[in-house]
Amino acid sequence: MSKANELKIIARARRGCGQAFRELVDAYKERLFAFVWKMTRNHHEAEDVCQAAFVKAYQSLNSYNENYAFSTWLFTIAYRICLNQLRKKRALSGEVDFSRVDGRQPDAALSVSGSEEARRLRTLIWDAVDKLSPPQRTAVLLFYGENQSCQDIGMVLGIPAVTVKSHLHRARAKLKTVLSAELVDDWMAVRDLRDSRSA
Amino acid sequence: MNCRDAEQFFDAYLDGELDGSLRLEFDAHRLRCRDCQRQLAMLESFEHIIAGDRRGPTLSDDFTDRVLGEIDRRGIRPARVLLSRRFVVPAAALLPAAAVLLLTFAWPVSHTSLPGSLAPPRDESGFVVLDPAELDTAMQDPIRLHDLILGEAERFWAARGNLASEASAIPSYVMNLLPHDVANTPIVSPLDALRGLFAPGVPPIQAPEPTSADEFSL
Repeated sequence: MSKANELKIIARARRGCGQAFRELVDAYKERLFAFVWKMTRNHHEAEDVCQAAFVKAYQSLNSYNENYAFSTWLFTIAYRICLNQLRKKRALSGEVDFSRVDGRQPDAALSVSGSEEARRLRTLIWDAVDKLSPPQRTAVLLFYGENQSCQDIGMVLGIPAVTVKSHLHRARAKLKTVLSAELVDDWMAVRDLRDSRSA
Repeated sequence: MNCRDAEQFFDAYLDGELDGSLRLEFDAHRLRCRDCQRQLAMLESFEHIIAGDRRGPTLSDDFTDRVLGEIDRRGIRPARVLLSRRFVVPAAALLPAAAVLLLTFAWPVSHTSLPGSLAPPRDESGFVVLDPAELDTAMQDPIRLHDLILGEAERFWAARGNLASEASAIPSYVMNLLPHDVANTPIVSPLDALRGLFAPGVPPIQAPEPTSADEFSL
């Protein structure tokens, strides 16, 4: 959806047009859910948070500043609801919920070394991500998963872009500490396989 | 470059911000150090997995209907914003200043109509006098505050007159420093123009008479 079209839809939604807001929900719900699920690690909670975020966004639509991306604003609302939820539960890390994992193929590079190995590596990485603090986890998910800039992530977290970068670097350092002892040989194997396939 | 040095540049390398001679040194170390290669490979792979992993539960098919259903059920509408926050904050900051100006200039205070006990005290020069010990109390009282502002304004206006007469003396000091021939050239006459501007009642300055030892003193 282009920015111009999106602004027209937002303008219609502001006037109370339900169909216009439906289009906005459909445009962003998958991305928002993916992010919230990775934060909460609970399917039903993630849906509740996303629903609350969209309702809040509709209610506050007139205070949305069009100089910023709508996704950034929406993710900011969802992040704050997530934080409240996490504080209530005090669940900063949890078991990975594979109850409704879909059947998509794993990454091509990892599948070369065996699906079991790929699953083990992925689980280790996500377990390490789950152990990060909420701001660090959010920075990692939005930077690598959503390709958002440090400036946009800073808006979501309410911190300067330079602090976002600091969070990313600290997250990297923590992940290196957690993973390096487990996967010293595996990463080299993955890297060599990826290089040989791309040659 | 050793491993400890190279590790400090991991973030810059992965962020694409390492260049120049440092990049050359870093690459030279990376190519021969197996341990650093492993660590970098791990960090790069982790980033690719985070970016590329779309596995996870799927959203319910009726999610959008549920969102709109909740909005209808609760009768939620986009809240109206009457004033932009950009205007509310400066307006709130200017409000006290506007109130002071209003009290100062619009308050119908006339000292001639006030009873003698409420008229502000004045010294022999006619300036409003306010005891410093009573300043805090005066700040809370609009009438006393009005008198205070009036007194300060009168004091400033009187000082202006003194300043003007003192400023007009400066050109004469400058004229005494300059030799006779320079003082009579048109270059110096702008000083006279300044005198006319600041102290129009003061007579023009006469250049000093040349002396036998008329040397440049500057």
